[in-house]
Amino acid sequence: MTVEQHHEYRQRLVALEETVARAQLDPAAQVQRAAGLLAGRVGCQVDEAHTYLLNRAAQQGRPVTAVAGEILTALQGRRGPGIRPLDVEVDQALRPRCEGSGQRVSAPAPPRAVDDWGPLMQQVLDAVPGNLMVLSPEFGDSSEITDWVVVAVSQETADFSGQNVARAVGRRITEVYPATVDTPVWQAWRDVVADGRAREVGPFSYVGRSDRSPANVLMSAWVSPVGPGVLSRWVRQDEQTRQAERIAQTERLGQLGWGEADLITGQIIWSDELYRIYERDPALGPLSSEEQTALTLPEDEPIRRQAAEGFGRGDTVDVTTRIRVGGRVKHVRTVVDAVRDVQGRPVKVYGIVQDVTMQHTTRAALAEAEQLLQQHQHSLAAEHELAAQLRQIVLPVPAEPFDLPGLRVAVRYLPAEEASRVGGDWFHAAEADDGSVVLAIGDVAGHGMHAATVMAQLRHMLSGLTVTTTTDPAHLLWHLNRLLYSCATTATAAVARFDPQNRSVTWAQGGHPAPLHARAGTTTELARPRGQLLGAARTTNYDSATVNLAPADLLLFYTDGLIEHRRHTLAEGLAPVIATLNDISTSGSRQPLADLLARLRRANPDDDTCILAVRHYIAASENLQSDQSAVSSEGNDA
Amino acid sequence: MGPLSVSLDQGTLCLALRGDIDFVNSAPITQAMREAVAEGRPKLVVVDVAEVSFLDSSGLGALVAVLRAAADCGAAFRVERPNANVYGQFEIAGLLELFGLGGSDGGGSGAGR
Repeated sequence: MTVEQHHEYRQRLVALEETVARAQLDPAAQVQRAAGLLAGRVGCQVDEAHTYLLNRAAQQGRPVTAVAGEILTALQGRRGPGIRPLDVEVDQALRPRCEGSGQRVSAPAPPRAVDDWGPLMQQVLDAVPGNLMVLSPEFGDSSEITDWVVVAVSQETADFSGQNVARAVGRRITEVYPATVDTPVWQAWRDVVADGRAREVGPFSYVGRSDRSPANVLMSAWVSPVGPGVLSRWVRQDEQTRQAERIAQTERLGQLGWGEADLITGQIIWSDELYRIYERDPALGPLSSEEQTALTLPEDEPIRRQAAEGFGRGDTVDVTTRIRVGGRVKHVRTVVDAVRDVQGRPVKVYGIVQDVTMQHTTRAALAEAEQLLQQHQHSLAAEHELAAQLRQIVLPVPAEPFDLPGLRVAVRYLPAEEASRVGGDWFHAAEADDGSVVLAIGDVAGHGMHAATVMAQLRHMLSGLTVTTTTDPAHLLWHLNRLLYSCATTATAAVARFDPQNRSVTWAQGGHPAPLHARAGTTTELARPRGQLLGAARTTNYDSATVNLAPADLLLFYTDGLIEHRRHTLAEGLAPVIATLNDISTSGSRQPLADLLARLRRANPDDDTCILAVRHYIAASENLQSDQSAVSSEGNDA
Repeated sequence: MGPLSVSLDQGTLCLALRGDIDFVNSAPITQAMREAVAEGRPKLVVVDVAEVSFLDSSGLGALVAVLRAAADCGAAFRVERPNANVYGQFEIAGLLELFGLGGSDGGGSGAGR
């Protein structure tokens, strides 16, 4: 190290020290430091870290500077060797090295016999990596070098045939590596002995003679004088090239560049990818540390500064900051470590720089998408709430079974699990002016507000029609079809009219599943009269059918959410419902309708489901001439 | 491959549907099919449902919407090649006749389910 270099290095350290000292005095800077340090550690943005500090202080009811102080203490816990000024430490660190090297230069190497230095060299080679060999020359009669004796060889070294070369120690090169005779490296050994100057040879072609050696490899060798002989280090050129290619490929794939800076000589080296990241022409050479710093966005400056200070204290740096390169902002992750002197002061700095813009951009895009989704969900939730309110107004579902002439009625509405899918399922159960009971169930295609609105229209129209026009199910469906066709919507419905006088049920359907009729453990699906989906054609006629009810008979009207048929046939979907009805109709329960509704589960969580169950009972005035047991059980069903 | 392919050949518009046609996708499919009918001015609209695995009420509504669009431009309409399940759904909905699949619509099919 020259005196100027030493001086320059000291000045840099003094500047760093002053920055640290300044920052420690100012309370605001203290908070900023803590935020920067936190951000660097946690990998978040500085303002996020700052907010965290403020929140924490508010939670604890303490000044933010106190919290910042704690954070600083905690994060800076791994301090270097004390708090002496950096330049003093550096002086101390560097002095012994200078003295030591001076001694080595002044003291001449003591001459040693081969027998003495062989084991010593072997120890040295054992301690260092690489392919190394120490050779001692053999002289011929005319003082010419005729051969070399292998004095020491690195243990880990494998020769080109893949064998350990330790067996070569003490033997002549002409015996163990005859192929090297008169190659460029052979000549280099001679030259080094002749003039005492180290040299590099190659790449040269080496043709092995062993069966197991590669026929021809490209080698480079470095030869230095050592003791009375030479130290020869060699590298297979092709291997080196392969490795370099692998590293380059890794760099490109990972958008990972590396650089190193020698703080003593000031020399900076960059890898190819680092030039690419900084979009800089390699011919211009690396950016200086100051030039690199200038590219950092001002918002991220505190992160960079904290990292620099942490680095000064002996930390390994790992921060992500934003830089402006070529008019674009890039996110770069920088990991910096250093070769430090005995006092922990950096002498040489190694940095790995990774372009993580893509990851950050992706993350930002994700956050944006998430926000959009949230907004979307808000509007869906709002629509759902409206639709649900509308349902509640138009179609309040009675919580308990209720009585109509000759029938006890129970209703259950199970909304779709997904909030946005409030559907258009509806029911009707009311006594008409003519003394009959009109029952209906329906399902408007689609979900949300539109379906809920159409459902409301349908239901009001049905109520009106039963008063003003007809209670005949086929006629009612004919009208409902007209309404639906006019609003370009489709729906299914089943409508029934119960006559309490003759206990008959007349019913019709428009594309709707038939009701289930359960009597004493046997459940049948009623045969469906002809009827088209409502709204499919301008006019269509509906047929009707009639079934007579016995006391305690159950009729179950349902919408198809009750039976999952997306991956099953309808019969498969219906089987558990029929089994439940069979069971209930023989159970003798005092509240069969409540039991039935409790046991029926919607099979398809995607769809809403409406269930309308009725049980025929005989009015009290008719008790004497009817099934006594049926009456008593119905009386308790609530 | 999307849920709808459209081809027009000599006045016959073929709309091939596949997969589940339900509340999730019925709105855009309906829109696309209507537009295809309006633009193609076909004499016949054929909806091929061979690849359709399931239709919910929205899916049925989509087919009815195409039926109406076809009627509006004076085109004949039919649905072809439903699988057994889809055929069953058409039957319950009472649409076999309207869809050109024959059969006695919606009548007496209770036992067949």
